[in-house]
Amino acid sequence: MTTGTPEGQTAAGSTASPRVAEAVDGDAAAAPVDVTPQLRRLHPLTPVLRSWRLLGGLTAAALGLFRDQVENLAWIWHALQGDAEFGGLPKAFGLVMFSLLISALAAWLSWRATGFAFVTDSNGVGTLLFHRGLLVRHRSQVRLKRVQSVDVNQPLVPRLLGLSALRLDMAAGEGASVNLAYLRSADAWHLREEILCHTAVASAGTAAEQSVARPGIRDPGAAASGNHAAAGLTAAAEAASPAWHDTRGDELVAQVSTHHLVRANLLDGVSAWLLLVAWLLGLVVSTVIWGWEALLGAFAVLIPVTIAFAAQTSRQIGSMLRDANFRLYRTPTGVRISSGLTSTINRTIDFDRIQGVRLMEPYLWRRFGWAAVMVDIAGGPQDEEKGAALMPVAERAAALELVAHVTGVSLDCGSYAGAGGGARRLDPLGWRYLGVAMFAEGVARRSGRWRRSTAYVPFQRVQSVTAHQGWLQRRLSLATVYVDLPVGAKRWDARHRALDDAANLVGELGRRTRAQLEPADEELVG
Amino acid sequence: MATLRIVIDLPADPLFLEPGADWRPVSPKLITERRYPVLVIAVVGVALMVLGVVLQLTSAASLWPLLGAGLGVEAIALTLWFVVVPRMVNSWRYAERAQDLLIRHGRVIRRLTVVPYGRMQVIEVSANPISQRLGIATVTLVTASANTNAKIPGLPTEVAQELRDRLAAKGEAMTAGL
Repeated sequence: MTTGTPEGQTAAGSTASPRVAEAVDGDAAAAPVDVTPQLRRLHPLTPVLRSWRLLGGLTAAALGLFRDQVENLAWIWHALQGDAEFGGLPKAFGLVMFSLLISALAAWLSWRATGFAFVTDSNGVGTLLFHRGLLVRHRSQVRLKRVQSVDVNQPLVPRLLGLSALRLDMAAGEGASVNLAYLRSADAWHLREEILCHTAVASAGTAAEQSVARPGIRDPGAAASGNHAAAGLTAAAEAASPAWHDTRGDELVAQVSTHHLVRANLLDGVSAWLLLVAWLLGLVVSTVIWGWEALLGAFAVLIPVTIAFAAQTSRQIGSMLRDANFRLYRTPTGVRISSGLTSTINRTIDFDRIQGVRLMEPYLWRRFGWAAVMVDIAGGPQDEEKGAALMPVAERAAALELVAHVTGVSLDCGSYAGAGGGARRLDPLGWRYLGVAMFAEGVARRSGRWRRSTAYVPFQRVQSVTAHQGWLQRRLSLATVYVDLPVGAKRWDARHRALDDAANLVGELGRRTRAQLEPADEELVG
Repeated sequence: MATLRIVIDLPADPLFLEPGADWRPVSPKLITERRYPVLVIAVVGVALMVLGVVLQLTSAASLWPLLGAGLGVEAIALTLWFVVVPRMVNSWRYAERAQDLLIRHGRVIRRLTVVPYGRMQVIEVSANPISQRLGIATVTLVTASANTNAKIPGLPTEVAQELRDRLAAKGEAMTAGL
């Protein structure tokens, strides 16, 4: 297992000779794409970490298999006294050891078959070769130009060992994403730099344009710097003080203090707590009125209430752990998010990879003037709404500044046109809060009576426009307009527009999207 | 039946049938294709009625419940056959504009899809065995979004191929990335 540890940056220096490689010696970076260069291995501890989970599963299975014996405590007592036949326990132990051995062997073999390398062709276009798979071999060639976001993640156990996983999100979604797990943290960060150089080749022009087009961009935190002590959002304002840089040279734009995060999280989940309080109150009241029998009856629903309560608690703790220590840095071409208490996430997003931005304002947050900012990235995590948080909680003004920083628009400055007149009958509570505003480079919509959200989409990202009219909507001369975005981004919808308003919106969206397309872009998505 | 053409003009509509665009209908052969499932329903109705008759002849069971159910199914099938399917097929329209393709369909629930040529990733032409026999095909436009539902069914095969070639040429000239 310790044949070679290609941890350094030069593959040629390592003694490991992966079986899959045709062993081209020399500098990997200079090798042409069609020749398989020397592959670099993942960290040798990877199989141990990988088999850890498998081992856990197998142990559980083994325990299930011998559950009768394990549950029967008397049996252990007898076994200790030498009465029972010694079969079960050594058998179970042997099974666990055997599965441990097998899983470790399998993990080690698959580690041996895994390798990656960077190659750059004569045009300077970088490609990541990623070989994996023991029985079914995968040979991925990832065009670095196409990478949507670069993450350096540290789950808890690898973090304790100083290891990190490097994850590249691709537009094609979860299946196409590459997860290099695990590398030494220093290596992972170095690789990230290398990859960002290549993604920046594609985006440098756009970034330059953006900085020219938006000379007035200030630090998102600048607005909040006056009241940061109360707001919990501290910022290093460029003008006021020398910008704070982290060890990687990225400038800190904003961070979220723990007490702010905890308060915001508790407020967000307050409905579940209210439900619990209501249940307890109901318990007391019914006991007072009907006596102790009612209390016993109420305990019948104890289990579902407990489950709901536990789920809510774990969800909140999970999101707090994930967003704890939240820091937002500015990189030359985008932003970097760093967060997490036990497991840490470092996600780098280029500005020109952002598909859409959402400003979320739950009901109780609005009282305190707080908001969260989400970004949509093609191929990004879809399962969790909070997974794409650009800012988990901030003062509203600071959040708006942040949106302005990444998109170049001020969401509050648009004139939002309301929904059609008939919308009141279809959506009596929320119709008042529906609105659509056009900006120079994108379109925004507002919605939500309780959980208000403002979603902004640049015209550049529009894949197609869909208008939809249900039966009732037709009776009321309304239609809903959707903007279809790449996989991974939330579909943009403008509900219940008046008919001519919707026609205008569709026409305008089509016209502006085409205008964006006209200077034919050579960066095609293959 | 295949050649029976029931052309129903769609009402003027600023959103779903933009005036000025060259809206084209799909082939009436699509009505035939879409009638096949209705045929299955009709056969089920007939089977119910036959079963009712057989049961009454062989045992003392009452004829009317099964006969009534069969007649109901037949009524549904006839409505689908003569009214719903032709109207639905007739509601399909597509228009090729200079820089985007418009597709609309639906009468009760209406839908319009606008796909800029520059956003097309893949153009598919597909035909199931029934379509093949009828000589029609479906053209599907795929963009980077999973939500884009841009499909034109029931195009005569040669029209579908011409459309595919035209779209491919236009797409090549205007393609842009994500």
